[in-house]
Amino acid sequence: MSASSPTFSIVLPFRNPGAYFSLALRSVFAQTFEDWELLLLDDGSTDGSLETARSIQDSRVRVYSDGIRRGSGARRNQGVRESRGRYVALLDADDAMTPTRLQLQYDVLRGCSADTVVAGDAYAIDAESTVRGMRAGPGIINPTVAASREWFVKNPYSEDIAFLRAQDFELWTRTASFLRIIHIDAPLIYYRCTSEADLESYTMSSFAMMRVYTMYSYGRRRRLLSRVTAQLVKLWLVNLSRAFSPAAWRIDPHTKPVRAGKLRSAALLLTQIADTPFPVAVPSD
Amino acid sequence: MVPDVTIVMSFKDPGRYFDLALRSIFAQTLGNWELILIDDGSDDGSLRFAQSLRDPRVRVFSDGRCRRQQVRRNEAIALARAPHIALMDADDVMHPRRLETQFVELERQRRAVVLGSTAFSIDEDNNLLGLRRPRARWRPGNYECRSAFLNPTVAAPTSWFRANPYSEDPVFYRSEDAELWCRTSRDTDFVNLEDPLMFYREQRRINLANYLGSSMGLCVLLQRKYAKPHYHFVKLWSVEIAKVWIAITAEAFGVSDILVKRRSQPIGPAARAEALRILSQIHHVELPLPSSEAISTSGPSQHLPPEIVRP
Repeated sequence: MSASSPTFSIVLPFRNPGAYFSLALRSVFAQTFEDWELLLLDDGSTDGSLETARSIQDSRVRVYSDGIRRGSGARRNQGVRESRGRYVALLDADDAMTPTRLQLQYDVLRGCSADTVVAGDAYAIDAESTVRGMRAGPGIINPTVAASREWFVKNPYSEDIAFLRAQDFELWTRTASFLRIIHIDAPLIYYRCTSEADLESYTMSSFAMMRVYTMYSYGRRRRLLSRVTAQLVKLWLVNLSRAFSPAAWRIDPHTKPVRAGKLRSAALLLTQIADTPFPVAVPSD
Repeated sequence: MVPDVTIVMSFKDPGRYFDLALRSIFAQTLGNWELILIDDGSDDGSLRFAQSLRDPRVRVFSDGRCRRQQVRRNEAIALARAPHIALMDADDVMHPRRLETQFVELERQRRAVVLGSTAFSIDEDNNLLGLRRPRARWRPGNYECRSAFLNPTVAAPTSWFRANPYSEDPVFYRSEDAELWCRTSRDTDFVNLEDPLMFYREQRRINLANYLGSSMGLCVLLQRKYAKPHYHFVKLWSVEIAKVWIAITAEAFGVSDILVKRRSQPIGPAARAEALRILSQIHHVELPLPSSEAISTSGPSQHLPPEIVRP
């Protein structure tokens, strides 16, 4: 493959990822499949992560920044527009890829038509990057997704300001009726599940999801109302439990336990990723 | 000459409402105004329409991007030349005496006040629906302040708007006014005039996209205000969540017009006749447009000055 058109374009938007960012970057350089380019799309970061991104010295890495906040959906679209790869692999700045992620997805994607989306499982990691189990719960885990570049061009993320959060849910709901998806039964990423998820983000996601329900209800009133009701009850309870006892409120992090042996090997793999260097201009301490 | 009042109007695809909104400005009894029209990425031809206005009091700005009303209002406030600012939405209509009444009242006040009024509500076809009033009582600093004003009726000194800018947090993209009133109610006098100075546009049914957008901002406002648990929070939070449920349910059954109607009060026949007379008077005001063949060569469109164009 020529350097100008790699197999994979990794599209990674970031907005103040803080300490998590370097793990995500290291996980790219730890890939066993090396024919990739990395597109780093700043969404108005103010925590120095843009400087970290720009310090990377590797011709496969490109950084885009205009200083404003437009939401990760708009940034992923921008990443797709700027990408030169045959396939696009998504990644979020607080997650990390398992070293074989791209290889596993390449093996599936190369035998598929251009309208196929490939997703997979994820390990759940907490704020200290300790592996907690597997990410459970319904739906597609957005940062595990890879598909042909054409697919993403044809099915962009919504750039409506209402989807500052949950823009992935909007995309997968919009495309659900014609989506051809292949699920790899292997963990492709380490997914950040913080138990004390920020309450405001949770509220914003809830409203964005209700917007999706109302947009794509197609006249199925009972289904719409049961979903909206469930969402509102959850939002109501989460906030009230906080009001009654601040220590007790927890948003269910959707993890399911795994065997101790598997957990250990996942943790070991993660330390290897954390030790992977990435090429920077000035040696970091 | 320094204008008396700057009218701040940002617009994004206002469509057929734009024309009447502009006519109502040219119908004002106070003539020494300045109109700042700031485009937020319209693609319905309204930018070209705005640029075709031939009047030195009108200043049109555009950078082709969609940045949200809160950002555009701050930009326009920075550009204002008059000592007072009157807010205006591109789908509403001003009463011909709006600017005069508010200018006189603002000049009369010794200290900075934010000045609103009641408003006639009109539907998509300019039918008169009734009279809307802002919340009658609120305690400074309370969450009730979110509805201290009917937002497009507000006027205040330019210096006040500059000292108290709109939050540009996108979570408030549909509730930037509520956030501003809650933030400033402790330190500013809020005054509402009894006379209806605006015709306020209401859609017959609830627009759920807009409703969810503003409710999201209000919920976040509540969360921020009650960072520590408080029993008031339980009540206010429950009401806010219940309202969202009622709005979605009503709209799902196609009866959300009942909720919209509850917002305005009926008005008597004399007041109705007077309001209709004024509306028709505004309809007949001429806009300073060039003859039709000249429109194509239009446009003294000003670009935003460099200091407020962000990268």
